[in-house]
Amino acid sequence: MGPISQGIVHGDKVTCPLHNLVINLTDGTASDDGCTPVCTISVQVGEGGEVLLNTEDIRAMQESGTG
Amino acid sequence: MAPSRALEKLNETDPDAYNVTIFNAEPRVSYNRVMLSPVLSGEEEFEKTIIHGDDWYFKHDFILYRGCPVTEIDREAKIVKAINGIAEPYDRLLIATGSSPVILDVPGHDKEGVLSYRDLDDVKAMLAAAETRRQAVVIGGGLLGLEAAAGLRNRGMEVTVVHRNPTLMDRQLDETAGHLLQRAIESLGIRVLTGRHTKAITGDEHVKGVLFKDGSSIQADIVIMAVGIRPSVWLAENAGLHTDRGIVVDKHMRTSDPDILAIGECAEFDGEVYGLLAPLYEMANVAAATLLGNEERHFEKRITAAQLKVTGIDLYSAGDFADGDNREEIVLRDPNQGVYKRLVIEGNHLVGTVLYGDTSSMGWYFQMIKDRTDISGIRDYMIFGPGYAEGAARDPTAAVASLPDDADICGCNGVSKGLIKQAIDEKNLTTLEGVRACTKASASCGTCTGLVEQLLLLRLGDSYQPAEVKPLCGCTDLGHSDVRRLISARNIMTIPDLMQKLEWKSSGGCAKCRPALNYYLLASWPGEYVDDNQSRFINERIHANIQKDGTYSVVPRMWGGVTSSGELRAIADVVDKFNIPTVKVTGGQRVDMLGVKKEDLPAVWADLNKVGLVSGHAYGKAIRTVKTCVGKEWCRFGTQDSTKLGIRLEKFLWGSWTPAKVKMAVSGCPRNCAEATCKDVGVVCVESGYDIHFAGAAGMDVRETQLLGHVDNDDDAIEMVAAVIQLYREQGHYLERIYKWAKRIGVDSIQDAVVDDAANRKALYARFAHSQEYYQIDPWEERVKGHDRHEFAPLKELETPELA
Repeated sequence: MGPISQGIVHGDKVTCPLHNLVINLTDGTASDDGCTPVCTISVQVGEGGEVLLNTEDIRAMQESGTG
Repeated sequence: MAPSRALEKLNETDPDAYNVTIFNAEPRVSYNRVMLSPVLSGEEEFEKTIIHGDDWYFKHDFILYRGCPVTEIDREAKIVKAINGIAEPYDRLLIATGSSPVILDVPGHDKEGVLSYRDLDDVKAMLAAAETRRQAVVIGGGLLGLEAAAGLRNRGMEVTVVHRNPTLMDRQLDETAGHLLQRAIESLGIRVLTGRHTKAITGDEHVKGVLFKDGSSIQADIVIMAVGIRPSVWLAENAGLHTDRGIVVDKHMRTSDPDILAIGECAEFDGEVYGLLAPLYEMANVAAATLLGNEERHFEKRITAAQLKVTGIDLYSAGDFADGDNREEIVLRDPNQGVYKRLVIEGNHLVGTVLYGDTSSMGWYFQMIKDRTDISGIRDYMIFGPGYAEGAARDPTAAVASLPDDADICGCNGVSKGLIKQAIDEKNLTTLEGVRACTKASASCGTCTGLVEQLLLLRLGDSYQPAEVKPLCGCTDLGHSDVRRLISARNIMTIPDLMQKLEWKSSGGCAKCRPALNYYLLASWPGEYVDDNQSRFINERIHANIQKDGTYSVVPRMWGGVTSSGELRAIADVVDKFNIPTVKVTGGQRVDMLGVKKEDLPAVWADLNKVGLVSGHAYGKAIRTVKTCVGKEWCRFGTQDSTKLGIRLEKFLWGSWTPAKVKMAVSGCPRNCAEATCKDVGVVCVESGYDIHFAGAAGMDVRETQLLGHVDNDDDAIEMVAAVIQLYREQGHYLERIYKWAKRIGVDSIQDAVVDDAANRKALYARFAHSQEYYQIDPWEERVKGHDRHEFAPLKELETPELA
């Protein structure tokens, strides 16, 4: 696991700064076979540009301990 | 427009089925809204946009209430009530209230001169303003905003487009196409400001300007808000119909009340609201069928496509063009024609496309997306369009072919493309060696070898077999050196421009090429290139080293490895104040504080800055450390003041970005206590002066340095070291350490350039010094003052209790 929020974004992908794993920003899947996808939280962008997170997803992530 | 279409259909099929009454909130007949932009720009007259004149309504016995907004739907009594006490009963009701523009809820949004862009009244207000006012600001860089901007520009106003996101039309275009669009818009004489969030509209009664969240502002005589549209649903909502974003309809366009239908921009089908003409007309057709009891006709989810109506700009996007794990992309760029085409493929199907500059094949692609055509047979050449029968491979010589004859291919010897071509043709040259012998091109450092070979290929055709060039990454066929030469030969100043001109095969590059390109550009254009933070690895973006637990380490500079009680005290205080768990002395004679939280970094740096400690660049592809021994001031063996030279060197060199890290040392005598002979650049003091060494390594490879040259005094030592580092900065491949560069180029060639050719050495030194004017700044101090503040603060702290 690495802090992918700190990675380089290119197109719709981000590269993990620790292990160079390429993660797809749209669905959380990893480009290398055999790597587990990262958890995703569905979001909506509001009219004022605010980002709305789905709290259900966050709770599920916390409960499964993968956050 | 949608209801007119529905009425046409109704009339065609069964003109006697219904008596029709129409309420129009606008005081006019039905007109083609899509043509408002040409009306604004003066390319079309309003009269030509009218779909149905008064006679049409009259002929069909339709009752039309113009300028008569409906105020209530009474579903119990089946009556529609409008203003002025007008009321009409209905058996069936068709709602087509469309949408209304979103007005940003910022202070001043209701001032005079703030307009939206939706209907003819808006266009008239804009045209009136264009007669008397000078400066227009359009908020929103989407379809409508850009069309409004182009129209106002055409009417002679000074126009600025302000967009919230970094690229224009980001909902319909990818980054590359957005960048091309911005250049095209700017070439119309329209100013574009991206990444600006509007904070307030300023002025008294009438608007005078726009203020942004970052504190900047611009003047404005009128402001057009084109930030988006919202389905108009309040009427349906008040009547108790099911609404979400729009009025929810089934596939027969029926709302939750089966006697009421909804179509157009106010209707929501399967979670989608549509704004483009084709799906809206289809809704109208379906609604007409439903009204006539035809249940077979139904609406299906549509692929959306977008096109900008600005004269001289061709762009189109359709379908879903996001990257995906199971998706591949085909990209074609033709920089001479300003063309960018991207196809997104999933399995054997085309799922999306973005076209810029050449939209001639848009219909063909759209059809394939819509029909889910199996494209496996045409995949290799479909990017060239439907007329292309045979598959043609990407032409590897295109980049060189497009260079003008006076472009320098060989920077070292100043040999132009024209001269090389001439030599190949006139002297019948067929080999790289022949070109080198005749013209000197690629005969010195050799970095332009790839380009010379491509020129040979271009002149001789397939009979010439070039040596294989290792591509920079999967996004291009060009090698590192080719890219570097082309950056200066073609005056490339930005990453998107480079990707377009050099025909990058991916839309946004990758984590391998982006940092390399960023370095090449900043090394080529010091002071002019705008550093792209998003193309830097996290360490260089945050100016600290990320650790495996996500915390950071902080290493301040200690010039030549010399410190003081004041500095050490400040470090000790910082360690206590921020509970830094580990403090370690590094191999480069520095103190490393490990385990600092990201949000603490600016505060840590602020405390260190107070005693003069600046960034040690231990995180960067940059000048790292100059390690020294104590030298002749203290040591009985010392031959020169190695500490003083080390400090001078570091103070001159620090802050410079390099292809890979550069570690240095100065030893006061050949006993070499500072281990100078395994460094990237090392100085060994001897009785007669200084031996300058380079190309050592002590990592996975261990190598002794090579002697570059000998100098007599401090000043000359600094000149030679700076010159060799500058040569490396200009020729090195990204991530290539000095010893690998030296092996590739040849130590002799480097000695020729740096030692034997004094004029060249001075020129290299001058270029390094020039670059330092821009890059020798303490990045920590900048960030203490608030630069890049967003990097260090979370967007938002989520409180867990809220979730429970």
